[in-house]
Amino acid sequence: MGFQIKHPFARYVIRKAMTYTILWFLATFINFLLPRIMPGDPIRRFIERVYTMGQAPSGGVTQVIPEFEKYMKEVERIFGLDQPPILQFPTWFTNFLHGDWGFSVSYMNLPPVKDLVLQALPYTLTLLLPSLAVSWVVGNYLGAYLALKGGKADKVGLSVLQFIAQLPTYWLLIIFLFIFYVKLRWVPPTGRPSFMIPSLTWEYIRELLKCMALPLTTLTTVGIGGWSIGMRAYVIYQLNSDYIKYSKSLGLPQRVLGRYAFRNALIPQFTAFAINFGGMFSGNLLVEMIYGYPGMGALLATVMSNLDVFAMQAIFTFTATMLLIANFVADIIYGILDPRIRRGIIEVMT
Amino acid sequence: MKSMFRSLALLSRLTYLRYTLLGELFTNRRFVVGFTIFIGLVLFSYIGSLYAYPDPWDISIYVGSTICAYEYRYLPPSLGHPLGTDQGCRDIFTWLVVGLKNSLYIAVIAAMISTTIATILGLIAGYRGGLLDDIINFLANFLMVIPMFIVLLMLVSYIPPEARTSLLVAIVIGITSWPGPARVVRSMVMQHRSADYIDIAKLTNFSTIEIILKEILPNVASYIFLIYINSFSQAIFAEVGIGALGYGPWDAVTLGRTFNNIIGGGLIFVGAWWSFTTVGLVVVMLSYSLLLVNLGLQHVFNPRLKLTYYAV
Repeated sequence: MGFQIKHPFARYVIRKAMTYTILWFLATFINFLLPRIMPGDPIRRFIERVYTMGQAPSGGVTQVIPEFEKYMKEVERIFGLDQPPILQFPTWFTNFLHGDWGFSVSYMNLPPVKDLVLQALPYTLTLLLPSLAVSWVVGNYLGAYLALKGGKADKVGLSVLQFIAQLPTYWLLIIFLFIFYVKLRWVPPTGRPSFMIPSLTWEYIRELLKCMALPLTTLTTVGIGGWSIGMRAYVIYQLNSDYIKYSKSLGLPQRVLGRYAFRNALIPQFTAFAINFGGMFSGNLLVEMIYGYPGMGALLATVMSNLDVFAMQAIFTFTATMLLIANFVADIIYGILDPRIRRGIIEVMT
Repeated sequence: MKSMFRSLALLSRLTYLRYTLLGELFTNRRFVVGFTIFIGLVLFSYIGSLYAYPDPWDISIYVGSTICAYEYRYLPPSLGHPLGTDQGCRDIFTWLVVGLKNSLYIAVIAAMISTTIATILGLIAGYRGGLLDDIINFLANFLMVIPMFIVLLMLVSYIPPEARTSLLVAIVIGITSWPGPARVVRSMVMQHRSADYIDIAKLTNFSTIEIILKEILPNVASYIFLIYINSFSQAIFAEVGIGALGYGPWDAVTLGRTFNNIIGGGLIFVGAWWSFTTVGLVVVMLSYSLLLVNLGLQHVFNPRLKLTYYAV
């Protein structure tokens, strides 16, 4: 290395960027290789399904098309699938970067995977972003309140929150569904806004809000539990640190100490928020599947049940990319918020 | 309840039990409550299977034939079927009890695998350091960045259904959940690495393997036990998650599969609240009891965490 980057923060950012680029290549490659070394042939299955009209004839697909094996060879030659996976990877990778994510064999009309993702993504984001934001804000204030209050309220509150955070979201959703649909009929039975073309009209938004009510409530409830437990632990850690003890000995009021602890405890919560933001892009599989909400999770469930390797690869690579970007952003935020990293007082490895 | 704790505390004080590790554990309220619930659930699965029907798939005992008759579907709770029946005339209580037992088996194996991998890698990485440490740490960080449930689902869905046995599912859960534990073991080992007693062991010509096994391992054993319990509850959650999506083992009835059956069979819309409430409550009690056990153990093994008792 002939040159040295002088500014410590720039060095930190560049090191992080390099690490995440390597991670991204690794993740993409594993994601590409894995389905290819697993048994099962999705193209063969799709062609069989098309030609046999979904029914399995007793003699297999060759009973319907005698020269099936010959056609299969031809298909594999055209798409380059007869080559070893290592040689297929560059082609697939450049196509992925150019926005050609392949075709989904889950549906009979072979829709491009990119279109499927672009249809599902807005639904997932409108569901998960408000729930993440609300549970983050409420959880932070609740956790800090419990930590600063202490005593009996803290003990009881922590136990309740730990119980809530442990609840499986899908189970809570099932119970809400039973109460609010089966018993009270306040919400629709499924999360799919039916018989309506997605638009920004008032009617559609009202319909969507009705469909979102249950999963939103569920995810926010469980989210508040998790965020507040984390925040409480961070605030208590800050309250036991030396600078708070020193400030206390100087005679600063409890209110000011609490504010100091709160602000410093918020740093890891910010980075956790960024990481969770990246994790949002894969949707919540079980909740979306149970309630039939047309987001990324439901798409992933559909695609997986059809052994649709092409769509799975593209979606997994996309979500992994978003996750890694979010992690990178989280590290940058951490670097900016923590003056020790910003000014290069401590060096953070990897 | 309160008097029970008071008498336990009194007993421990009288017998000096308090000053032993076990005594301290059994006077810890969180541990006692969690342990009781957990043992209760294990007993429930074994005693319940005596009451339940022998085969969760065999409906001919009470229907009379292997074909599900209409009047035996979606039965409300009764003495013969404590949790009613589902769309295929199957007895949900049997499914719950057998599923709980199988899920516990899977979780035991999965947690054992992940803890073993984490311990070995953590010991090597923490004690040796250098390039090996960098590689293991990089791998662990990489795997922790990606949500493990998605990776697990990806791996399980790539396995063809016929090959998806409960042992294989347990192995897959085990090999996807070691990164977090490995990092904990590594940091614990690194704290002990530069201690004086290690230097003495080195001077007395102990080999590296001897130092790791005889000096370091006993010192981090309590953390490994904590990690095992944590992995156990994670494994149960993982199994229920993938099972509810329909990617659980195909050769055994598990809690996840019972959930999948309830969701797919429309028991929610029929209004059979007794079925899904009970099955879900069993999962929640299981994970909550393990959380309490873990918090209690942390309290005893690692008093420095007393103030915060981090959520696991």
